[in-house]
Amino acid sequence: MENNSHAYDALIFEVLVFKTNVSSDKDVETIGQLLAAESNITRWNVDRDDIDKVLRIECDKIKPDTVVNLLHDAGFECRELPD
Amino acid sequence: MNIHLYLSRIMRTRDENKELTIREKALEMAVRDGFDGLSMQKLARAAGVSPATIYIYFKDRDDLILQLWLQEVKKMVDATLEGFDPSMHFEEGLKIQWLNRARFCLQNPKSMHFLEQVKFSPYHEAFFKKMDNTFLKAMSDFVHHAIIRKEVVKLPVEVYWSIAFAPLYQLVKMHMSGRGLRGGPEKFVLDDKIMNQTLKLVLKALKP
Repeated sequence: MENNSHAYDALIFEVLVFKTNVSSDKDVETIGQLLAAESNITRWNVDRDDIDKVLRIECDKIKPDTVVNLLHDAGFECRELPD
Repeated sequence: MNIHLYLSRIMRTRDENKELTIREKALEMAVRDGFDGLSMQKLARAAGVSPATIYIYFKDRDDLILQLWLQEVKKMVDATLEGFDPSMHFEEGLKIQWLNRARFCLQNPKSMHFLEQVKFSPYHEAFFKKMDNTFLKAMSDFVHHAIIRKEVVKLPVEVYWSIAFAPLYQLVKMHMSGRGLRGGPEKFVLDDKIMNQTLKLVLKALKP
């Protein structure tokens, strides 16, 4: 599940990784709409096979809190996964 | 985010040692436990990193398996094409292929196992499209030159492959397991004599 397919290596991007409870197709669609509004996000996907339902974001200078708040406001659980 | 933290995040994406460890452990895990037994959480524990770190390098589990496959295919292709030229005469070219392929399998049993796993999984079709076609072209040019020179009989590609390479891979598998067909304590060993004997028969079978 991803919004577009940028050339991987041409960019220096930042990767942010979050634990969420995004599980259904509809959930993915919902957060897709939220994330589409952030122009600094170049690519994102949710690994729903993983127990942490990991949201992975490739972006340019976005604060993790911005993403956390965005998902919280829409009623999802979301916290940044530590390194 | 302050600039220092930002830079550390970029650098995080460039830690090749970490990525290498993750790839090695993932290959081991896939071979030992199958694709179903490979999870990001288990892999993180095995590689001594956090799950978040794995997601720096790989989008998800399918992406991880794809990247591993591309890496192992490249290893196999490089090994197989060493000293080989598609314009070679068939006998010489096939002999080099056999030696290269056998050596690759014996030196990289995990790679061989993993490539076979993918071949017989639902991943194969999608992955195959992402493969660099240099290798397939070299293999195809080689046999077509040989057909034009009347060194090889024209056959459907599956039949050609089954005669030209399957005997070698079967012997390699028996060698790797140490088990031939005779049972008993004696180990089966694929030595030069057996390889040359088999290659001779294969060449005879493919002559027009």
